[in-house]
Amino acid sequence: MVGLVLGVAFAGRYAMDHNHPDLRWHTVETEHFAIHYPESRKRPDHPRWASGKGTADRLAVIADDTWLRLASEVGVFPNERIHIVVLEDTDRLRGFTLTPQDWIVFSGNPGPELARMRGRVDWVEDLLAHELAHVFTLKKAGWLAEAAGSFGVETGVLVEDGANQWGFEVDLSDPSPHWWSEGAAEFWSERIGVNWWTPARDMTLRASVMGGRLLTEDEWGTERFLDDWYDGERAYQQGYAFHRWFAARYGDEAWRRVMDRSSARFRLDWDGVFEEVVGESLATLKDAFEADLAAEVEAQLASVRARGPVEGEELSTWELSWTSQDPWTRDWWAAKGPAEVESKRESTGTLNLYARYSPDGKWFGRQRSGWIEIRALDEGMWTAFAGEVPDYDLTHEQRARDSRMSVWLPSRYSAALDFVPGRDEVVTAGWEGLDRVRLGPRKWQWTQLYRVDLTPGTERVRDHGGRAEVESLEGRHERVRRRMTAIPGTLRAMDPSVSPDGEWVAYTQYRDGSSNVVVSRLDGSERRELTHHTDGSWASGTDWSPDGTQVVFALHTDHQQNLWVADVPSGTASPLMRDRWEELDPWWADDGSIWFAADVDGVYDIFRRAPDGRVHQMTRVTTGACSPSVTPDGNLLYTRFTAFGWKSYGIPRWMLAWDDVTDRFGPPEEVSERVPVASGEVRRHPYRPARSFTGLAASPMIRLDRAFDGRVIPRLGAFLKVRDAVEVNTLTGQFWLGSDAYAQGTWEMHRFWPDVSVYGSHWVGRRTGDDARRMISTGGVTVAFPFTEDVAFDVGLLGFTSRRESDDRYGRVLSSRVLSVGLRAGDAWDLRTSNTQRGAAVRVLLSRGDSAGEQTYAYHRAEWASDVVVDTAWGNGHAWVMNAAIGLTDRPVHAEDALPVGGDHPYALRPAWVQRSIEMPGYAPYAVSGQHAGVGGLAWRFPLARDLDNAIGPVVVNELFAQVGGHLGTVWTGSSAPVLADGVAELRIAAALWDARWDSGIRFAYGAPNELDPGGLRFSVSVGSGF
Amino acid sequence: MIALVLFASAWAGFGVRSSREPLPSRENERSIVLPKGWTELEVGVDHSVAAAAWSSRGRSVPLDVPWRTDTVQVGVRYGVAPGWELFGSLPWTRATGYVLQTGFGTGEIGGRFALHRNEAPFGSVGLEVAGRVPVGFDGGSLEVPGRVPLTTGTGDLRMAVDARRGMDGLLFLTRVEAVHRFAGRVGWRDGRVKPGDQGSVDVEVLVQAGPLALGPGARAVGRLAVRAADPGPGGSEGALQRVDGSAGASVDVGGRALLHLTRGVELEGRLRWSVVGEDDTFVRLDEVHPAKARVAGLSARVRW
Repeated sequence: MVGLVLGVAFAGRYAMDHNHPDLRWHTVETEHFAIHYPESRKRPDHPRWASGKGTADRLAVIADDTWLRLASEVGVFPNERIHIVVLEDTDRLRGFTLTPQDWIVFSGNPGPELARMRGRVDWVEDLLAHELAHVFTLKKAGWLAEAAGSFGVETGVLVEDGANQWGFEVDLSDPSPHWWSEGAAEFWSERIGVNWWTPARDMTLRASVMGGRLLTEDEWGTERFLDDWYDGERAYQQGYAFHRWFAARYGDEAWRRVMDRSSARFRLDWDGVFEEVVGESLATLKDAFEADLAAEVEAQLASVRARGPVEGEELSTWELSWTSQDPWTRDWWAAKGPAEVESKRESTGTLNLYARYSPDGKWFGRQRSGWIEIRALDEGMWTAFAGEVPDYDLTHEQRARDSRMSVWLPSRYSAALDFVPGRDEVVTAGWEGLDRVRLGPRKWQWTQLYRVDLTPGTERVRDHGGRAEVESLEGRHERVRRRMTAIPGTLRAMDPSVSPDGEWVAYTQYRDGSSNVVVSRLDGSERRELTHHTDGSWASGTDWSPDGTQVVFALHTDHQQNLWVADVPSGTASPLMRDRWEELDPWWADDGSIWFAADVDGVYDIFRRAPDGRVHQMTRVTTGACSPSVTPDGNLLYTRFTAFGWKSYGIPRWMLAWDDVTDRFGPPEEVSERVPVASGEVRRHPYRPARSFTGLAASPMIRLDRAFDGRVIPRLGAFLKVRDAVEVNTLTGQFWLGSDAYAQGTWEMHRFWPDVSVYGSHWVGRRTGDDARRMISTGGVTVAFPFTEDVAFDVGLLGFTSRRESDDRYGRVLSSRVLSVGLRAGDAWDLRTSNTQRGAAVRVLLSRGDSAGEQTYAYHRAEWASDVVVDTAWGNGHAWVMNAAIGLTDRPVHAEDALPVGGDHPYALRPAWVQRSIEMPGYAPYAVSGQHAGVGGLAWRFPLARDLDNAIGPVVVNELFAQVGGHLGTVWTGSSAPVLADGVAELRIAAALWDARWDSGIRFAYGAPNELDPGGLRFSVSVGSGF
Repeated sequence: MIALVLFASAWAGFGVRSSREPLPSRENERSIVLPKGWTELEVGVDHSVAAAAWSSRGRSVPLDVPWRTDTVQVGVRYGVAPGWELFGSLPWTRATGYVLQTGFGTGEIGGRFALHRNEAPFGSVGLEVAGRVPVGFDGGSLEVPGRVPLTTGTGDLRMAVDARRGMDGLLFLTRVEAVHRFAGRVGWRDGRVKPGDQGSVDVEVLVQAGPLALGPGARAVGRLAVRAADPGPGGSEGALQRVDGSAGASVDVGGRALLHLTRGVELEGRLRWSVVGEDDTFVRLDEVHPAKARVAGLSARVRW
C-alpha cells in the first residue's frame, strides 16, 4: 500500500519549473498553431521578471507561412493544431517535439552553444522550421498510428515458476533511425529557405573526417548510445549531409518516397527502404557518400596546404604524445586503439574557450567544459610559445607555483571570463546560486555574473630542508564558493568583460527573445543598456576598447552577424563591419586593433582589424578557429575545433599569417531574405488548459504471463497519457484485461506550489495461490512540495479496500486509511531495488494507518530507503552499489500491511497498490514479510566491454557489465526474526532495439534458508525486459 | 479516471489525426482490419430466449423453464498500424432460468492482421488471433443449484481467417474459426465445466443499398467433448475429465442489417435462430448454457 504512496509522491520530482506560480500563461492562436508563452506577475523592472511574449509574437507572424511551405515540400497537410510552448524558466538550450502529440517545447534563451555548433541562425525561425519538419516528416514516415507511436506497442512474456523467472520483451516502435529523423528535420527546413549548410556544420564534418570520427553505420542510427563527445552533433550533421547528398543524386522526391515506404509496413531492418526506393542498400549509399565527403575535405585541405597552415600548437606544458617527433613515442602512439586515442586526446579538454591572460600577465584563465580554469603560469611555460618542452628542472619553481595557484571555478558551460585589471579578480558567468546553498521553492536555471576573488593566501611548505611561506590559492569547492560574489542585476547575463580601469563590466543580457549589451559598475550599480533590441536580435561576445569608452560585440540581426561598436557615454551602437561573413568573439587589443573570428570562404579563421580598417587573416587553420585573445607578449591564444574537442591553441607572434584580406570584407552581397507571410487572424487570450490538451499518447500492451501456480494469463491493455500543453494538468491511466482486470488513473496538477496528485485504481482477479477472486480499490491524494530539483517533501492520504469473493458476494477483508509524510532527496530514481543506475537517493517516510477488517487496528510506521551508486577509487567504469531499507511498525499488522522482501523481475506487472518488495533477489518476490524489515546490500559493478556499438540485426549492443554482491537483513514479527542473507551475481547487457532500450541480463542469486523460506538458488533471465 | 483520460484526449482532437488511413464509408468497401489510426467503440445488447435444448440425437427437448439471457457487450478496436489492429471486448450478462445470475462473461483480447487486400474488385483477407480471458465467474456447474458459470475458467485461444469480397452492390463474407480451450486446474473451487475445442464456418451475403447493408447468414459449429470437474475438495481436485458423448454440431441461421449514419457512426441489428443441434448443451454464454435459442441483438458503433 505504501508502495503506491511512494510511487505517486515521487511524481513531485517531475514538477515543471515552467509552472512556477509566478508565471501567468497566455496563448496566441493562428490558423494552425496555439503558441503558449509565460509572463511574470512581477513588474517589468523587477530583476526576476520574465516574458516570452516577444518570442511568441515573432512565432505567430511566421508560423503559418512556415507550415504551408513545409507542408508543400514534405507532402503532408496535417489537420491537427500544433502547440508550441515557449519556456522562460531556463537559459539552457531546450527544444524538442513529440510528434504524436503535436507538441513543440523550446527555451526562449538557448544559450551560446547552439550558435557555436551550428553557425549563425535565427533561433526562433530555425527552431520552428526544424521542429515542425519533425512533425511533418514523422507523420509522413510513421508506421504506427500516432497515439501508439508515442511509446510503441509493448509485447512480452514473463514466466515465473516460484523460484526462477524468464522475461522477454519487444517494444514495437517506428524503427526510423535517429540520423534520419534529425537529418530530415535539418534538410526540409533548408528546403523552405530557413536552414542552410553553414561553415560550422561543415567544420564538424570536416574535422570528423580528418580525425577518423565519422559515426559508423551502427552508431549512426542509435541515439541512445551516442554517448561520446560530439556524437550527437555528428549524428545531426552526418544525417543532414547525407540527406543533401542523396537528394543531389536522386532528387527530393526520392526522400518523399522513402517516407512513404517507411509508413507502409513494418520492417525488421528499416534500412531496406532504400533498396525499395533506389535499388541500393544503405551501406552502399553511405560508403559512396563518405567517399565523396572525403574527396571534398581533401580538396579543402589542399587549398589550406597550398598557402601553408598556420595553426600553432595545442596549449600544454608537456609534450603531447600525438605531436611527438620521437620515433619510439610515435610508434607507441600509433599502436593505440581508437577508443584509447579518443580518450587521451579528449583528456586535454573538449570545450576550451576564452583562453586569455590578465593584462599584467600574472594569471592565465580559460573556460573548460563548465569550469573556469585559473592558473599562475608564465607564457614561456607553454610549449606552443617555448618552441620546445620547457626543461623540467629549470621550470621546477614555476611548476610548483602553478600547482599551488591553480583553481577551478564553477561556471556556466561555455561562459566567458575576464580578469579585472590591477586586481586579483576575475569575472565570469555561472548558474544562479553558485555562491550560496539555497533551500526554498524550486529555482529556475538562469545565469548570473560573478566576481571571484583570486587573492592568494599563504601556505607553509618544505623548502630545501627548511620551511617557507608561499602564495597559495585554496582550490577546494567550498572555499571557492566563498570567493564568489554575485553581481546584482545580472541575472540571465553572459559574456562579461571588464573595463581597462577595472571599474565597469560590460555583458550581454537576455530578455524576452533578444540579447542586448549592458554596462554597469562591478557592484551592479549604474546599470545602462547600450542596445535596445526587441526583435530577436542577438548580441554576444563583448570587449572594451583600450580607452574604456567603447564596447565591441557581435550582433546577429536580419540574418547577418557582424561586429558592432557601442559608445558607452552616449549609449548608442553602430556596425563596425558590414559584410557577408559571420564575425564573432571580438577581442580589442591594447594597440587598438580588434581580433575576431570569421567564416570567410567557409572556414573559421582568426582575423585582425587595424584601427585604419585594414583586415589581416592571422591563422590558416584546417578545421576552424574562434575565441582569440592576445597575450601581453603579443602571442595569439585561440580555440581550434578538432575531432576531439574545442582545444586551446597558441601561435607565437612571429608565426602569424598576416594575410591582407581587407578586400574580402566589403559590403555584403544582396541577401535573399525569406519574407514570411504574416498570419491572417491572430487571437490572444489567457491560457486555457481545458482547451489545450495535446494528443493522446497510448502504449498498447500485449503480454502472455505464466504465474507461479501455472496459470497462463493473456493480457491486453494500454498505458495512456494526455496533458495540456503547459502541463498544468497531466492525466495518466493504465488498464489491462486478462485473467485479472485492472484500471488505474492519476491526475497530476502542477498549477500551484505544491503539486497535487489524485489517483485511484480498481483490480479484480485472483491472487496467486488463492481460489477466490478479490476486488481491491484504492484512492488517494498526494501533495508534494519540491524544494529543489532533487529534494521534495510530501504528504499523502490513501484509502485502500480489499474484498474477497465468498459465496455470492464480495466480503470486505481489509480497509485501510493511511496518512503519510515523507521527505526524499537525491537524483537516483529506482529506490528499493538493486538496479539503481546512477546517483544517490534517500527517502524517509512516516505513516499512520487505520485498518479494519478481520481485526481493527491502528499502526504507525517509519521507513528509510536509500540507494547510492558511487564510482570506485580506481574508476574506469567500476562502481559500488549500496542500498539500505528499514521499516518499523509499532504493532503486528495484517498481511496486506506487512513489509515484503524478495527479488522481483524487472518485467513483473503489478497493480499500483502492490507495494514494492525490498529488493533481495535470493528470495522469491513477496516470499517473506513482516511487521518490521531491514535489508542492507553491497555490490561491485564493473564493465566487461564498453562502447561496443555493434549491431546484430536491429539490436545494437553497447556495453557488457557485471555486478556481484549480496544482502543481509531480516523481517521480524514478535519473537520471530529470521536472518535473511543472499549472494547475487549478474551479467548485464546494455542494448537498444530500434533505438529504444533493450537491456538484457541474467541473474543468479542464492538465498540462505530460514524459518520463513527454504531459500536456494534462483535465477532470473531478462531478454529485452530490463535489468 | 481512464474515462477522463479518453475524454480529454478526444476533446483534444485525437480524432483528426492526419496520418491515419482512410476509412470507407460503406461496409462493402471496408477491409477486415480497421485502418491505421482509427478507434472503434461498440456497445451492443443481445437478448436470447431458449425454450428448448437439443438432445444427443438432435431432437428439440422442451425445457421446464425457459432460459433468457441478456448480454451487454462493450468492444474496442484500434488500428495500430497498416494492416494491424488490436481489439478487446467484455460482456456482462444477466441470465434467468432455474436461477438468476449476473456478472462478467468471457472477455476477448486479440489482434487482426491483413493477409491480403485488393481495391478493385474489393477483396480482403485477414487473420484473427485472440485470447479469451475468463474475467467472470467460473465456479459452479449445472449441478450446483444457485450458481451457474459465466465463463470458461481459463484462457482460451481463438484463431480465425476472414475473407470478404465485394461484387457491385454485394458483399460476400466467409469465416473459418477454431477455438482451443486450455484445460487447467485454475480457479477451481466448487466444480467447473469446460466446453471442448470447437471449429466453425460462417457465410454471409450483404446487399449494400446506399447507407444500408443487409442480408442473410449461416453458421455451422462442431464441438469436441465437454470436460468437467467434480465439486468440492476430494473430488477430482480440479482436474478436468472428459464427458463421453458430449461432442456435437449445430447450425444457426440469421441475418443482420447495418445502417451507416455517418462514416463514424453506425447501427447494427441482428437475428439468429438455432435450427440444427446435437447434444449441443454448451452454446454461446455463453458456451455454458443450454439453448435452442433465438437471439435478437442491436449494436451501436462509433469510430473516430
